[in-house]
Amino acid sequence: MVKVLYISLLVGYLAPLSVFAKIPQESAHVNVGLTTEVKSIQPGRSFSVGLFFELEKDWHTYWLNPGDSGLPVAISWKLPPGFSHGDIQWPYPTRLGTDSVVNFGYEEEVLLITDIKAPPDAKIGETIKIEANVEWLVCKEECLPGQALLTLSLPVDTKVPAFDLVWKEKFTDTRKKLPVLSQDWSIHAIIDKDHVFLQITQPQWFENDIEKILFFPEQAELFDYSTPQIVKNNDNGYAVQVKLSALAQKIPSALEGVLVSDQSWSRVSKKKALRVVVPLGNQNQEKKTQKEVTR
Amino acid sequence: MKKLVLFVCMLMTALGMNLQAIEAPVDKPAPDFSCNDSKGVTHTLSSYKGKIVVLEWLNHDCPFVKKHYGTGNMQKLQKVYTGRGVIWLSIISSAPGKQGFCTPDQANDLTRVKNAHPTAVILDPLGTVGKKYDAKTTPHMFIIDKDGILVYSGGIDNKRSTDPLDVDRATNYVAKALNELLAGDEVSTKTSAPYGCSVKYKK
Repeated sequence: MVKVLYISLLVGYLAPLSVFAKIPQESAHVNVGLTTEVKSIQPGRSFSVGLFFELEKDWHTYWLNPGDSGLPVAISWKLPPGFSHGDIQWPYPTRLGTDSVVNFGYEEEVLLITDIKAPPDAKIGETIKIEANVEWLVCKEECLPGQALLTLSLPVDTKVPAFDLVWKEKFTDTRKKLPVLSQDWSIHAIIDKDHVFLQITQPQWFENDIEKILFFPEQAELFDYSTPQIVKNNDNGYAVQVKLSALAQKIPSALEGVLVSDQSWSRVSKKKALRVVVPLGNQNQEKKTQKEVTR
Repeated sequence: MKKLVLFVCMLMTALGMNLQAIEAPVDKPAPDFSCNDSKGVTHTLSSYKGKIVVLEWLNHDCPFVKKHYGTGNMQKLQKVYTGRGVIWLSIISSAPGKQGFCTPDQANDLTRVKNAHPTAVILDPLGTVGKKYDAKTTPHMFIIDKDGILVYSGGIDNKRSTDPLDVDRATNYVAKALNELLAGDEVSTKTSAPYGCSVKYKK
């Protein structure tokens, strides 16, 4: 009985992908497709396209900082003259891997949204071809690199674009997983010889208790991922202790990353990820000096 | 009768020290080990005092390793520096049944097919040496100077990719460090983040 239910769910799940299936790139253990949120392009306006990965069970692909091993997805866009694109909008990842080799990435599926802007003089009635040369690495225990040239064609129209109903929901759901920028929360980073301490001061309106916080650093090569982060509750909010890597070459002037919690960082919408950009001060010299002293 | 090659690596650690702890920071004595290679020869790190030693973590099925062997980059480094007296040990820490694991014969075949030039291919299927050094990826490179001090731990270069074209665009940290050591200079870049596939350790 359970099995039957599972199969029917699966069919129900796969059915909407039929549209996507007309542009799939099947490779080992992964389906990759270029999708669109809208059915047409308006001159001078931005619209969103998305690279959709559907991964076989136990396989994963990587966030912008892949962690100890792996490689993030890379897209090289080829757009008609006048069109421009933004960066990949990375949803927050999950912590994967083993105790000794930690990775940040995605299992099951992920939509990587990119915004494209049409020039004001885009010709009405013309069909625009969007090309993405995509390179990725999927891993279970072993890793397989993949590459595909994906294309998408959309007409230029004067009217407000209609949503592609097959994909609209996935775009909406994915945006909930994009880190929120918030002035409400005050974050400070303090660095000592071996650690960065993130002091998170909560706003007045926040009345919940956070049980889990995990910091995902965007800068590669800075932290020792296999040492568990220590989260402490204090008077102002929370403090997260993250261990620096012994292999870190230099300490940047600002720390960039994402804080993920079990509660929402936003007052108005449910956002479990908070974008963090905080100065690490002029601590570079200090770290060096302390390192030399300990030698 | 076929000679039985023992798949054993031993850490030559003083009694009372914690065998589990990772003890391979740069500027400190490199952890000593004694291992058999794919030909049944035992290599003890401390016996190479007076020579520069390179440790290269290896898994021939890993796309990042393929980049460096497919372009001949790794073989070239091996040939050039073993030619200048450097001891180059390629270490396989994949557990039996996991990707990259090799029997001695398989390891010898791969060395021949890939035209590799390491001093030896060390078999570490229990991950004893890999875990002691905290080798995270294939490749993950370590350099030990003539006094037995670990002077480099990290990636082979600064281009985290599987693109063969990146080999020539990258700064090769291993070549840079070895050139400095051979010239009698201090290594200028002692650490970098290793990149590649995870080492397929025994669970």
